[in-house]
Amino acid sequence: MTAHPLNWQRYLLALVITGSVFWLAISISNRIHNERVKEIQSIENNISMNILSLETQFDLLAEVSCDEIDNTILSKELNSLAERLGYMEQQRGKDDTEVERLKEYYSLMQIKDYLLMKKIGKECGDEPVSILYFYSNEGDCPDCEKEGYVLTYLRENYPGVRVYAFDYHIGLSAVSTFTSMYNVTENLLPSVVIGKKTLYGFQEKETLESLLPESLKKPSEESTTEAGVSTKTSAKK
Amino acid sequence: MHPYSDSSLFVTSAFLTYVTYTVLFVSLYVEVFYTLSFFEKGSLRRPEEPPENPRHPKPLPDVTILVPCWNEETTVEKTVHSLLSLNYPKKKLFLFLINDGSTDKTWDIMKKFEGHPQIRLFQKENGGKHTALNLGLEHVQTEIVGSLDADSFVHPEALLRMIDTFQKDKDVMAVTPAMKIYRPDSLMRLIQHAEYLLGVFLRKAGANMNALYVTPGPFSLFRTIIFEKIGNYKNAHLTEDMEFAMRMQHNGYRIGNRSDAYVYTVGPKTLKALYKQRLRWTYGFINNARDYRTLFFNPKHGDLGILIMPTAMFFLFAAIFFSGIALFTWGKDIWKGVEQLRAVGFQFPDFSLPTWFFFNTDAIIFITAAVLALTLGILVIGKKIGGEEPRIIWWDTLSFLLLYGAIATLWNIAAVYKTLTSKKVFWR
Repeated sequence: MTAHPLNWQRYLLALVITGSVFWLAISISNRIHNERVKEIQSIENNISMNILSLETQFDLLAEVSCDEIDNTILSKELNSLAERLGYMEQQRGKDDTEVERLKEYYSLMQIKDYLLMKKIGKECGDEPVSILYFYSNEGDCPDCEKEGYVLTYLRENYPGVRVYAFDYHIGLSAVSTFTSMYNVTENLLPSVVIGKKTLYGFQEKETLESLLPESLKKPSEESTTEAGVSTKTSAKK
Repeated sequence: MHPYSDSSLFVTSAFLTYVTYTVLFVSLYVEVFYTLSFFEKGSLRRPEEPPENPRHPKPLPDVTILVPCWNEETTVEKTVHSLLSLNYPKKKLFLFLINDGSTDKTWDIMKKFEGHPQIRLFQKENGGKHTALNLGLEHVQTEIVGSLDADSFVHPEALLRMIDTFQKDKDVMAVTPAMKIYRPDSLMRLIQHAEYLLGVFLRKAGANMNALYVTPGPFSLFRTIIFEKIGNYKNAHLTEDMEFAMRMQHNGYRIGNRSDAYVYTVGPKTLKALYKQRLRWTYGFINNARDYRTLFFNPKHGDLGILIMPTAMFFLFAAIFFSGIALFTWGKDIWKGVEQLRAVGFQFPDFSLPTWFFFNTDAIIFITAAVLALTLGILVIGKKIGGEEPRIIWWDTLSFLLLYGAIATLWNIAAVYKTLTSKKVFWR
């Protein structure tokens, strides 16, 4: 019979090594996360700069022609930002406060862009088609994901359409104002505002397409390759 | 993934995250622990000393090898010839060929060896492998006894090397060999080839900490006295080699390993055959472990009790858990795809390369990579001590890393299910 002495040093050493690997993995992951946050912040800075520039251009409208207002960069950046935020939310969970803050900022910029486009449209006589989309990702809206696919499809196939998506639960007063303006409540999600109509519940692709103005009905050929959205006020790039 | 689509559906609930981290931590910990145990005794630096070394002029003991046969007509002759070719004095080596009621030509082939000075033949009604072994044990008169399944072949030096281990360590009551797959000529055999080489490493590391709980049927050797002390083989849920090792551990006897004593075994060729074999093994493990539950968390049994047995059981359930998660996630992805198809019709997927931003850099990914890297490292060492030729691409390693987890789930689930429902498993 032999005794089975335990080698505690080996247990400890294995713990130190395993712990170190975990620490290293978590550090690297956090570092990359911070880089992502930085990239998003830089995009947000760009966008807010663009909004300011657009507003300034708009203020100067009396002196310049509508043709010189360029907002294509802005829409592309909003899309790129939306895509990145969506990914971050998926990666870190929707409770990450940093991601939540970035998303709030994004929502505000969307509202700014929406209002500005309306103003420019009125002034220059070519109002873009805007779709407001209210969703929830708290698990209480089974159709929101499906509606998301439809709106992505519209955005990609109708470059003249601008889609503004708002998380119903974001807790931002500007968004709450929006939801009460259009009578959107939690149990009516997903809700889509297109033109002057507010539609509650899941809307088929065909329903939304039928509500688009005739001028937009034929999808442009280059639209499938470029996710960016442009409005017709743009004359140059 | 898109901003307008619901991103929270991805499985990220806190509970699953904690479970995943726990399983990864235990996996890495055990892997590191095995690796430390392997190197602690310098298993790689100091190769096994050749037994021919004149510094060990001890007289060699008499050895009996039991060969239980049940319908082994295709392999038994080769098995016997490989035993007769062992580099060991003919006067000291005896073979007992035991026909356990075969229904094919096994007995006819065995009779070819009738009258051979080293061979004795036995014939009995079919009663299971343990009964064949026990019949042989009744007639053993040598100091060392071993068994060799009739679908396995031994390296000519294997016996001498294992005897050397017995002679160097008086406390060792059993010595296990380094098992390898004979001619890995199918995908399933390639996977087993890598798995067995991993086993060569783990068995060596396990022996270093006296935590082996299987004395494999292919060519484990015992001091005959151990059977007098703790009894003969039992049915033991059709895994008598596992039960006997656990019984040895339970009684505090040491099981050693000789990592250059190569034994080649014919692995199941198809998934179905492999599934049946592994179902038997896994079922045997669960049920023998249940019978010897006193081994668990018992410091009296050293690393085996504190770490090896509990984590072996833990991994079985962890593997099932992860397979469930994987299936659930895939199912959900497919469901999402169907939803998208129904909502907007077929859309050409975006094949453009994503920027760094969209690479998954979750800590879990890095930790999994570390676990896989260490597994690969262990495999490389396993290949080195297993006497494999160095190659650039190891198809066995590749197929093992890619497929083993998935197929092992099949028998893990089936074994747990059969244990819970008290269903019986069969030999083949």
